[in-house]
Amino acid sequence: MKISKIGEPQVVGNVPPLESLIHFNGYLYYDTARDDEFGRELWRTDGTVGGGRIVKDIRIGTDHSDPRSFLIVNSALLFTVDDGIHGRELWQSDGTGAGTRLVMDINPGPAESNIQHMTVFNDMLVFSADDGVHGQELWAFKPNPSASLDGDMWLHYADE
Amino acid sequence: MILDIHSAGGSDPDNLTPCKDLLFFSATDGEHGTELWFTDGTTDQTKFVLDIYPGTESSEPEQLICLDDWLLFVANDGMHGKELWRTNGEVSEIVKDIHPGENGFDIGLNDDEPRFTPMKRIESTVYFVATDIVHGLELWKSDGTPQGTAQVDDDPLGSYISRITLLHEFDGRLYAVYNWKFLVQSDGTAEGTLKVPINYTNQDQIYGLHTVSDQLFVAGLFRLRRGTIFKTNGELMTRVLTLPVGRWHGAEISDMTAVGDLLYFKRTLLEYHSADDWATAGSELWRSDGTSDGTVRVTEGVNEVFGEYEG
Repeated sequence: MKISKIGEPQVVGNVPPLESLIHFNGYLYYDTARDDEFGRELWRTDGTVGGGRIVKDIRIGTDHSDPRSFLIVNSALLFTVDDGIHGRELWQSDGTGAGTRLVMDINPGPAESNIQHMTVFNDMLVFSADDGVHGQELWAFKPNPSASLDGDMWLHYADE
Repeated sequence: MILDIHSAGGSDPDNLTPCKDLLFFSATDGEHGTELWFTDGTTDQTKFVLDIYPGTESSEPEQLICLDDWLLFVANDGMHGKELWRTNGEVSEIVKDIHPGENGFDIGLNDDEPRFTPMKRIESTVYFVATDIVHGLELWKSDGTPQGTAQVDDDPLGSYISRITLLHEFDGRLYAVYNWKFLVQSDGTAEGTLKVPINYTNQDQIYGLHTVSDQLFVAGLFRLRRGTIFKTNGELMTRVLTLPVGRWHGAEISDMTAVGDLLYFKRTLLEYHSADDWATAGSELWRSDGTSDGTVRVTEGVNEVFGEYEG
């Protein structure tokens, strides 16, 4: 299965910077550690003092999943994270625990896919990754913002 | 995967930069070295632009930036050194041989530092750091044409040996940090390039600039490694707050993000081990409206009690 989406070209603006702090759908998303409970995980806050809540304990227990490289693409929050099972891979979140999930295990198994240079282009995420076979190559993924949280729908464009 | 550009290994795509309806990037196919490519996201329209450094040598395109109908970038064709180029995907040409001869305009940058301060586009002008054969590393501008590529100012700080470390846009003007320490604003002319006055002393470093509404926030250090927020309206730079470090030894500010009129940022607490070794103790989310009282911790990352503000 390849993550690849072909769309009508559109004029795009400046590339948003990669951040570990990002404003998405009215909340600020960030990574933080509560070493006694969760380790470094994905949190969000409404911006009020004490308004922070964990989105999902992606790596269960006190180990760190260490979410990084937040980017909003086509109204979806994308980032890389290591759940302790699949290695560091591409994930997507709608801000809920249930809606926070692996997009694709690009490098199958516990190996990481070494995702780099995440860039927004024509409502796609374009990035460099290694699937374990082809070396570091160019990949693209188009999230579908209108899709339900069903796993197959998240990969709607991947099977085309 | 869009295309297996290097079939015998990885093509190492880098410098991904959208420009008009194309995404430009650098990659190697194993035959031409690291050169410029573009894609529209389809396999069929993923193409090699030009073998700028002929043969298996690499022109190493970097500093890609979109300027109207052209993509500007820095590359070495093997004859001119690293110089400013432009392409529209069909035509690729050198804009100007800023540093004549085999040396590029980056000569003088140390290998242990980032090779280039990232270029900054403001409307139809790109600002960058370059050296010609006469001057040191100075501020330059380009509109993408040879005649429109020129040095902005020789040395706005006077006798200082300049090293421009950050370029940023605020209120339609360029803001440049010199030597990690001094803030200079420019309208693109020599006479309009001025140091921003400061009303504090003893600042140690400026390492972040972020525009929030009508304020330019400046992240820096004050008295050793005390994370500090400054702000400026372009006329004067003032200190908003030096954040308390509690029992830790220092703090740094990063990830500045604007939400409406508020600045949100991360503060990372540091523990001193040695001059070269500061360990990270934890990080927290803060917000600021540009006033001392309005700069508060939103959430804590480490279970730690802090002392009073030293604002």
